[in-house]
Parts: sequence; C-alpha cells; structure tokens
Amino acid sequence: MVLRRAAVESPKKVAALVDLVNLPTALRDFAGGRSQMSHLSFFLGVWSHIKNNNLQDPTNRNIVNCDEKLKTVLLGRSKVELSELPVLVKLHFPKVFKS
Amino acid sequence: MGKVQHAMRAAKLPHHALIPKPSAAPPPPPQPHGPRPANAKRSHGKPPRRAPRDASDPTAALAPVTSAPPPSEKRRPITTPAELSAAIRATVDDDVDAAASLALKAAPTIPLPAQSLALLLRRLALYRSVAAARDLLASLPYSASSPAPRPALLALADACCRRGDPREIGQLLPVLADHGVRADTHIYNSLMKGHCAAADPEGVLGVLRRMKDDGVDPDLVTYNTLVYGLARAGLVAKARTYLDAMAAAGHFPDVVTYTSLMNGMCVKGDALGALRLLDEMRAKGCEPNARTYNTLLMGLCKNRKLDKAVEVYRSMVGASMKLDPPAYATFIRALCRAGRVPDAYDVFDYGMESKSFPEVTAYTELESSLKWLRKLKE
Repeated sequence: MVLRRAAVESPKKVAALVDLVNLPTALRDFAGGRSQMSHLSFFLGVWSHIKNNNLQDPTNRNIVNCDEKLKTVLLGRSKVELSELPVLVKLHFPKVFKS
Repeated sequence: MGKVQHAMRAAKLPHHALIPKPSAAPPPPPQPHGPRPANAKRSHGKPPRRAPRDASDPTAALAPVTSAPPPSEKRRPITTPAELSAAIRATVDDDVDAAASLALKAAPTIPLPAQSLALLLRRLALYRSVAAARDLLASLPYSASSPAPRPALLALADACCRRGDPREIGQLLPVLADHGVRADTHIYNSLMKGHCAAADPEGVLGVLRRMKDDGVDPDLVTYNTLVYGLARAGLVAKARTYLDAMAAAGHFPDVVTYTSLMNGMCVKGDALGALRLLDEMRAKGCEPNARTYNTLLMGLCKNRKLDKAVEVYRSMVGASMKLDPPAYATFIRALCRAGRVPDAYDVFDYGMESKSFPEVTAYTELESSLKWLRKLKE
C-alpha cells in the first residue's frame, strides 16, 4: 500500500494537474475571463462556486443542482452527483501526448 | 537522533536497502579492476557524497595502492605525523584502502595522529564494514596495554551507529570491549533501532538483555525503541508490559511511547483499545500530538470503526491539528466506502484549508477514491 501511494506522486501526473493550459472558450467565462488555468485550480474553482452558491441539494448533499454557469461547464446536466464531479471536470483537460 | 518517529523510520528503511550494498561487495583486493566496480557501486549507493568525485574515480581505480592522484606527494617520504595525517586526508576521499595501507606502512616509526585514525575508522566503517575497521585496529600496534585513542574509537562507534545495521554494531561491541572503552547507552540504542528497522523482535529483546548484562542502564530512548519494535512486530501485550515497567524504572512513558503502542494495537486490530489508550494518556498528563491523532484515525478507519473515526476527526478539527497524508487518504476512502461522499468533500476542504499537505495530494486522493467508488458501483 505504501508503495502505491508513492507512485501517485509521479511527476508526470502532478504536472498534468498543475500546468497551465489554454482554456477552451466554454470554460473561459466560468473562469472569470482568464485564458489559462491548471486542472487543479479549475476544479477548486468549480467546487468553491458550488459551496458559495449553496448549490448542493439540502436533502441529499450528494447531489448538486447546477445553475446556468455550471451547466455550461458540466455538459449541460442539471443534476450532478458529487462523486462524478472530478470526472466531469477531467473531461475538459484531455491528456496531451508529447509527440 | 534519539527520537523514535514513524516518518523517520519510513525514511530510514529505503535508505537501508541501499546502504548494505557497499559492504555486501567483499572488501576489494587492490587489483586494477577490483575497486572500479566497487567505486561504481559506491557512487550508485551514495550519490550526494560521491558525485563531485566521480571524475577522479576512474583514475583512482586504475592504480589504487601505488600511485594515488597526487603522485608527487607519495614520493616524498613521510616523516612527521602531520605529513602523514595530511597524506591520509588527501587520499581517504578517493580510496579508503589506499589511505588505510598508508597508515599501516607508516605505523612502526611514526605515531598515527588520533584524528587521522578517527577519520580512517569512520570511513572504513561507512564504506567497507566494521570488520575492515577492526582489522585496521588490530594491525596497528595497539594492544590492551597501550589502548587506541578514545576519540578514534568513539568516532568509529558513531559512524557505525549512523549506519544502523544491527550486525555491524554487534561486531562493533567486542572491538570496543577489547580496547577498554565501555559501550554506552547510545550505541545500544542504535543497535536496537537497527533491529527494529529489520523487524526483528527477538533481536530487540536480545539487545535489552545484553544491556542489562553489561550493566548499562536503559534510558527513555531505549524503552521507546523497545515498545516501538515490539508493537510493530505484533507483540502488543509484551510492549504493554514494558510500558508499565518503564514507570517503575523511573522513565515515564511519553507521547512517543503511547503512539507506538497505539500503532501496534491498531495494526493488530484492537482499535477500541487504542482509543482507551488515548484516554489513559490524557489521564496521565501526556498531551497527544498530531502524530497520535493521525495514527489513531488511520487505525480506526482500517478497522472499519468509522463513527469513532469521525469523532476523532472532529476533535482534531477542534484542536486544529494538521492531517497526515496517509491518514487523510484512508479516511477519505473509508468515507467513500460508506457512501458519505459530501463528508469526504468536507474533509478535502479541511485538508486544503489547514495546508497539511500540497493541494495536489489532496485532490489526487479524492479523485482516486471516487473513481474506485464508481468502479464498485458498476
């Protein structure tokens, strides 16, 4: 188990999360006009947006009711589960193959 | 250096895997190609120390004994102890064997200054083995009547202990006894730590017996190492008896002792007992520190006592303690497994807020547990 955790911190994966990437237009207005962002900071932005606007369903905090802004980012879905959140955000940051 | 800490243990363990390599290679006879693979291995095993000298290694390897890098110095006969020590210092970095043979050749006429002997012994113990150092000592004209200088022997002991290999330290003890230096607690502690790292509880107990036989009093560090080694090996009941015996001997158990015992109990599966230990600690006046809480959290999660784990987490938040990456990861995974994903996100927030570890770690752990959860659902 210990070795597996150490493998998670591989430099390539860390770089993939933290490098600044040119944002596609759909994400740009969500990000407040910035043209470059890292995967990690984008996820944090989405999550803080959810928390600040209390978009979580009070009965089942697992589900998020998306508002207009979130819908543009999360593939137009109106209800998203918290467990799917990282996956959806990841779709916007495809792996760049170094050729 | 006397503290028994889990992180240091974990950091020490892989270091162990590298260190025995130079000693595992048999002490290379002074042949032209003999020292070269040893030098290469040495440079592999200790990169920070050898890196600046890699360029000179091939030249040193070619002719180890007869002409070390500054050949002009060799031709001058070495007459005074100062020159001898300078010459030794010059060569010891490149090739320990050459330096040792220098000392040996000059031995009969010139008294070897204590610092050079100390330096030689230290390097030999580090890069070759204690046996080599012992041989050097034996071949020099020291005997029971005119014992080797004490600082040199102490330097040897120190270098040995730093290395931490229990067999080596075991060989060291008779060497010291021969020269009339009494092995002290520090050396026995290092020996015990070596056995702990090798996960050898009988070795640990054996060291304790030896200490008592030799008349060396175990101190707090000894007891801590003892409890740690036994607990890690699973002999929790025995560790517990030692914890109780410690107070009788006058060394009161401290945070480290309790944490090690707690760790052992959790590994054994007795997580509730670990919780009771926490109360006992507080009753005795030992304040649990961040490491205690993290160990406890991890133990409770691994033993599926999630509610208790949440309680411990709340008390951690209350005391604004930092989370440890493994404890954080286990906790998040346990929460996801129980389906409490929003709570997992809360823990994620707390982790980020308290800056206990880089955001990348926090995020990757969260993501991997959620991914794993989805796989489970499908």
